[in-house]
Amino acid sequence: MFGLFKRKKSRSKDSPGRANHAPEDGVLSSSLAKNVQTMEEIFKDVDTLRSRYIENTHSKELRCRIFYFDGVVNCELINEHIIKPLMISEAKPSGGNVVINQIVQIDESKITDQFCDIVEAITYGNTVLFIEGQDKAVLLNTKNFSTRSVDEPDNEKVLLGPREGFTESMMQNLSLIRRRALTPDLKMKNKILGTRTKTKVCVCYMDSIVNRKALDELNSRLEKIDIDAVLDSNYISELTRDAPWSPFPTVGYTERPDVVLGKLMEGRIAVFVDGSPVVMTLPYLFIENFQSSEDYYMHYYYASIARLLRIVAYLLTISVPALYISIGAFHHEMFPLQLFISIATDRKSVPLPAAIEALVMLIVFDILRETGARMPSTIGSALSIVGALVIGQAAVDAKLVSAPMVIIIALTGITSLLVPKLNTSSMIIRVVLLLFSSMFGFFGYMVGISFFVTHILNLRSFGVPQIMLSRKLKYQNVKDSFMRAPWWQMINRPRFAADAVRQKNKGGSRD
Amino acid sequence: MIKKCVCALLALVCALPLAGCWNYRGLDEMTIVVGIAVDKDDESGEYEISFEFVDLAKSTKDEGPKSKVIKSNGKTIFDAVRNAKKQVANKLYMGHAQLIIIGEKVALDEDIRAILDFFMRDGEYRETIHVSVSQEDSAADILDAEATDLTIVSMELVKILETDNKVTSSTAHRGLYEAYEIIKTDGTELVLPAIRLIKEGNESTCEVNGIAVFKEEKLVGYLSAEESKYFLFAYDDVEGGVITFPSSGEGEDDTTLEITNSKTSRSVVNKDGKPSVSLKVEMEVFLNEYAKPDSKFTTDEIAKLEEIAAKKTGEGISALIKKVQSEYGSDIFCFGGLVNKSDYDMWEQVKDDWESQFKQLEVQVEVKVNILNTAYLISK
Repeated sequence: MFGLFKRKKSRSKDSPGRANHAPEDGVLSSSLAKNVQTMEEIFKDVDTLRSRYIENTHSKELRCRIFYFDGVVNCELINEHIIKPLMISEAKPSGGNVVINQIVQIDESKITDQFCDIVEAITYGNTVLFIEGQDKAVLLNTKNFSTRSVDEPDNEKVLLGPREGFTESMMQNLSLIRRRALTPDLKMKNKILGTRTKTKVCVCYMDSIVNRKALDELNSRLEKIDIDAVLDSNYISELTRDAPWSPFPTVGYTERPDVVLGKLMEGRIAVFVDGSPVVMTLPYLFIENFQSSEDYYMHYYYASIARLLRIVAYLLTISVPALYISIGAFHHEMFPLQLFISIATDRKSVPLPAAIEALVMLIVFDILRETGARMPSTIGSALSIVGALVIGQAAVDAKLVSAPMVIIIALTGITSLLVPKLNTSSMIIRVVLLLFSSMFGFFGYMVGISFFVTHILNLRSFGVPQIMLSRKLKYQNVKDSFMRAPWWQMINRPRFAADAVRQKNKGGSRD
Repeated sequence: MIKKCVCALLALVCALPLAGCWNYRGLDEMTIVVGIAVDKDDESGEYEISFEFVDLAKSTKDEGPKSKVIKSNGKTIFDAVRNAKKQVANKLYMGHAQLIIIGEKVALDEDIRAILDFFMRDGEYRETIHVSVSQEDSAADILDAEATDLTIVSMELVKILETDNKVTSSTAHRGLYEAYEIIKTDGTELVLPAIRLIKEGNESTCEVNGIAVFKEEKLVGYLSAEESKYFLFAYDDVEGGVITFPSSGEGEDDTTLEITNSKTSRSVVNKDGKPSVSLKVEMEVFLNEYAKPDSKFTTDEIAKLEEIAAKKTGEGISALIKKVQSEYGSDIFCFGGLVNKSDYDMWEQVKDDWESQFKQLEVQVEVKVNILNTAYLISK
């Protein structure tokens, strides 16, 4: 039964369905005119392609043409450091190397004779330089596209700690990481995914700490990806995830460089995708759902209490409607008499049975939540009036809904916000548990809970079990789970890390 | 895969009957009964059961829950309970019933075991439900009375019973399972709280008034509130309450002690092959009221007060035990059980003849009062 959630082992390994453009696969010729013609053929109907012909003032032999895309290049750089030197240089060009070494003043340059390289470079903001008589072209780095500035991510706000967040530019994101770890141990391996979009993907890890097995597993899964476009890291995470049908996340997401680095330092791997501010981290343990970056920046008592609250909130958000229905419809003796009378008085005039009432209210709440998340911010106040007054107060006054049910749904909703990473799963589990308990009371609830517990215990993230069970309860294994130990006690890394000891010289001196 | 799924589903289906509570029963589909009164109709000889239930239609947030009383007749108790459904829309729900009041006539004439039997056997009643005896002719009158503090009489009575031994020590409360167990046990007899009405004009309120004494399965008499206190001392069930006595040793009571802690050590001594019970009461008290404002409270004076209080309490306990021995002959103090526990061989000898043995049982009472606090009031 649990096989439903297991990963399909065999993924089809057909050859990539690459679109075959004949001109793109060709090599350069030594005729400038012919190369220009090929370029125009490749980028037919692409009106943002710009091209300019340049002749050297000293030597008539140096004739060349540059191509670039408008909007993704730095025009000043092209004018001052490519066109100008090419026009006035006195060097005798005998090949691409001389042009790079003696004429143009550009930091990153490359020589190629393949049109496919040219296509890739020019679309990414480089400038291509064709020289008459050369069957090689020079690719010059003139990238300059607009990116968002680095600011605090909206859905990972913190009170204390670094406020930087990733942007859509991968290079900028990598720089945020690089700046925080000044060590060659931090590896960044580029990959290109997406048969059409050719998106750059970067796999980052600390070479001496990383879990090799997970890294190999990730690389082999990345190689199997055959998709035309990769627009966000979620594409990759879904294509590589374990237990594809499970509602629980098996990969972490973050928009914060400090979080990524914290995970790297625990032997995890980060996957950056160009064009997305969201970075994937793996392996992902179940307890990470309850962790927040702030935990490590605030006092450990506060952080520990906050974590316990999040765990309790998660249990509440999946259980409260189910428990209310169980007690209200099957185990009436469990209410204290006063509460029982007051709830019964409220329920007396409500038309729907409590279970259906709860189901309807849960759906209404999810609609409200989804609307709140997607709507333009200008109509927020209208929504809160409709939500709070109409659904809450007016519905109770009109006896469509009983007042205790509104409280139950409100509690469910508020607690779900405390654990946003598990929102998907709690939305589903909550309803399943509600259905089970409305049929069989506590028994149904327990059946549902045991089903989910079994499932969670079966979950793996890139070969690492999401819940690591141990025969013995050791302090170092739980120091960062339901509590956050003070830093001087954080001696070991998680068990899956290759280099297990974080504070070698401490060796538990204050433990 | 399919096989596994089918197996798992089958296992689930097999487990379903284990759920016990099968039916979905919404809160709006039940009549919540809080109090039950058991009477008997003289003419027809049928049971007449009254139910006090929460009137959800009239209950409001501001005024609190309201209750209503309905009466139904039947040849047996369960028959009467089922007949009540004829008068109400929703089935009676007994899971939250708090109190069973047995009418005086029923208690005198009928076997109380037969009455408790139904409530024990039926699955819906809590076994902790309180059992009490009405001193009025009809127990239903108690349910018809006005509640003074809460809005539902049964809930109020239960509250009174549960807090009694901490504040007044004037009655003994027994849950259904305790009452049933005591009846079934040798060497002890049942007491239940007695409830009476106080009439003022048209309105009547109810009051807990001491203890109803049972012998075997029938009601034989009552103990007053004062006597009940001495009973509780003998039974070691006092947690609060007051003692009044004359400070000079005789005359009118003018001094009050508040009990904060009381412990009775009960033991059995073998006296010439016959059991003899010794009760040692030790209590800690505060002096709360004293008619001699000029007193300096010297150690001697306090010791004197302690002695007078101890003497009065001791006499009260002894007198009560005498009264029960001679008037009722019912071992409500559980002295038989005490003998059984402490000297089994002796119990084997006396148990067949315990009723007469109890009447002649020698009981030594020793009371020690310890005044902890007199409060300091300045005197001239």
